[in-house]
Amino acid sequence: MYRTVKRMGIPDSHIILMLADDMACNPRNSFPAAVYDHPRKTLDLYGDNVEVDYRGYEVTVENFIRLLTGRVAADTPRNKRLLTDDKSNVFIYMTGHGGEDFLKFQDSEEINSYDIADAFKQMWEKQRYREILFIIDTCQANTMYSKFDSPNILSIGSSKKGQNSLSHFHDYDLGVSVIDRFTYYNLEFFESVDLSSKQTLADLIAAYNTSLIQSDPGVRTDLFARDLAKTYLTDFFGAVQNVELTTEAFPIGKSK
Amino acid sequence: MRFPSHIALALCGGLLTAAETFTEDLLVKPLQDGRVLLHFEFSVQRAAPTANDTLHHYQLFPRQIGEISRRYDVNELYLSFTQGGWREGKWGSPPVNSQGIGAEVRARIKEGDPAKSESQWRGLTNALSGVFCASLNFIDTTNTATPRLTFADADSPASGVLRHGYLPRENVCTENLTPWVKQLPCQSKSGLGLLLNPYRLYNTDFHSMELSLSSMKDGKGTPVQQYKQRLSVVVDPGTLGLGDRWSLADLVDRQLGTACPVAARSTVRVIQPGFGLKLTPKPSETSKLAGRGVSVFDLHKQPSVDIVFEFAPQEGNDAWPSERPTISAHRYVTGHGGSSGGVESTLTNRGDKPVNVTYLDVLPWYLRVYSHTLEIQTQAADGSWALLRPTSVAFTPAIDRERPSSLELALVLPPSSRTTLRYSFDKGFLKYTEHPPDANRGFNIGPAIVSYQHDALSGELPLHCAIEQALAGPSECIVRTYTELFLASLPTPDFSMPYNVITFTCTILALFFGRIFNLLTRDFAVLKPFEA
Repeated sequence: MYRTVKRMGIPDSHIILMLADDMACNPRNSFPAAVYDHPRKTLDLYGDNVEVDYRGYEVTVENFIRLLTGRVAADTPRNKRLLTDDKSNVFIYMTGHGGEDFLKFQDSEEINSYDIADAFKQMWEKQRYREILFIIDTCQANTMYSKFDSPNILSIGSSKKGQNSLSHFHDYDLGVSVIDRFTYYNLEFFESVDLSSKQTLADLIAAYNTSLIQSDPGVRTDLFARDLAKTYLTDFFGAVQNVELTTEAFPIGKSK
Repeated sequence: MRFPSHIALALCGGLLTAAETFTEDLLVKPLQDGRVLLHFEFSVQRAAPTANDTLHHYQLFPRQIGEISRRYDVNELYLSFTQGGWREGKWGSPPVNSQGIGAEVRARIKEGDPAKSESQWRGLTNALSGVFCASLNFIDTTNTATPRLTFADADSPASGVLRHGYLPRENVCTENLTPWVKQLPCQSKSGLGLLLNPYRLYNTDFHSMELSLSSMKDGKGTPVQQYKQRLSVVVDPGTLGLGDRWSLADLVDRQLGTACPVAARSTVRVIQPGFGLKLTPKPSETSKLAGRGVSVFDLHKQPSVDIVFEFAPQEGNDAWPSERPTISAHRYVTGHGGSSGGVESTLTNRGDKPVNVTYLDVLPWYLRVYSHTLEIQTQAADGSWALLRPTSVAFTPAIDRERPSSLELALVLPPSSRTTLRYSFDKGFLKYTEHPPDANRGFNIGPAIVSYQHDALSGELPLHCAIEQALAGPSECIVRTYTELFLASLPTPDFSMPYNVITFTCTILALFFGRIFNLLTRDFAVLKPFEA
């Protein structure tokens, strides 16, 4: 997803990337400094221009909640803060091992659905977002957004309760599967979207093919005020500045 | 009216570029085992900002660094990220003065209120962590030392306390290179920055990326600030499928273009192994470096040059001169079990003169060093052992969860000798929550640093000094040798124990409670058989 939003013109200063593992430069990666989405190795998701904001042991549940709610230490640099206000659309994509109502962080702790719901509630009270698009790819992912109760949140999960989210494409050069099915088909869809695209969130959701993803993606729209068929993908995934045209000339300079 | 303003602009631009100079150089050195060392060096120099300079104008000098140094009163700053060990037996002396694995930060912060400079150091490491996408914010008082002997370079006019922080587990990858490249005046658009291809730079046996900010005086005695960015990698043409004939473009998979237009000097220098290497095209000039011939390609004169390297088939490695540095240092961890251990360091002096060295070992608080166990023995060339007394000892004991222990020794290593240092430690207990997520892996412990002045010694100049003197002019040569890291395995608790205790206790409680509740509340009565 980092690759997708960056390709759509969102600068690194507006992206906060948290990576617990150093997959790209790990000595066991036989293709150094690259992470591919497919064994054919045409699309490098890591890229040669990546900026990671939280890495290694910094990726903890505490830091994630602090980041969302803005309660960070005084010395924290700008790229480790979520500098948003009530005009900001926030897109959160989480993936990893998880289960009913939890997602694992590192190998030692987990965030649960109540933690995220509470953090979003605080964000709403502190006017830290206008709308949130929350996408999560993990086993039983749809349980993760079931506890949300703050307005203007659209949530998408990769699989329903009791279902696994499966990985995709085993790479025999690396000895691991390179991507998750849900993430891969999202990525594939977004490769066809560009800045001028008029595709909407409803198009994205309609493109989910249950037989390919091998789980049932869920969407929760009851908190989201807008009609999905009228919400452009670029509202969350691209840096598109909307120009509002007025019928009359706007007076400049004569403030008296 | 337009014409004079153009002249004024041009004049203004001329003056400003004259105040800041930028040079870029790449050194290519074929190594004995067929690998190739690439050493990039980018340097910006500007007049030192004065206290009443309120404009804070930046042209070539990176603004990020200027602002950080101003905000945190930093006179001297050094940051390096290194992966892979430098094999001095095969590769000779390293091209950089710091080759310890992990991330190292050193800064000299202006003297002042200790509490303020402590918070400035914390602010500095946090700011650097933001700029360079690294976990440098993990440097706090528990892994910061203030060595007095090791980094006391006499030529530095900067005053203040030098703090030294080390993160032995920090890795280096594309995300660290991205901001580093963005600080170059031409980024990766032209000049030598074009060759910085992360796919090749991380496919290496040794990778070291560093930057240093220093204050000094130029030839006229005016104070200047110098910012240097260095990147050294050891590439193996063999693993890239290249044989005896390849070009620089094959090696890094990028084509060289024109020189960076604002660079006062832009060169590629090939250090000749002395035999068997043919270069095409012809270099712009040739010079000498550490007794070797150097072919210099000036990118201003030869833009888009693609240097082709052709190696004659070799008959053994006998012709290669031995380039082992005079002093080498290794450190091992001794002992076994979870309660105690020790450190054994070996310092070898291959020269024919005694050498004054300083030895610095900073150990985290959970390795409790016993200074009375320090034992220094030296073995002469004839095999006889003798005790060696240090000329000075500076030992700072650790405080739990507050500061590391630091051992600094000044030693005189006898000629042709091997000196062994031994000291023991106990392993402390960490709290349940102080363990990292992969607790059973153990803790990486940063290297010991051995430093000495090379000037008084005979023999070949170490490579990093030779580079410094060839590019910047004569300077004194201080060598720092870093030992290996070691892995300390501390006693780890059974992380599932609280869960086990809870389930076990609850089971017993439930059984006990059920029984007693039954006994207390039930009324036991003898039932009469049903009478029909």
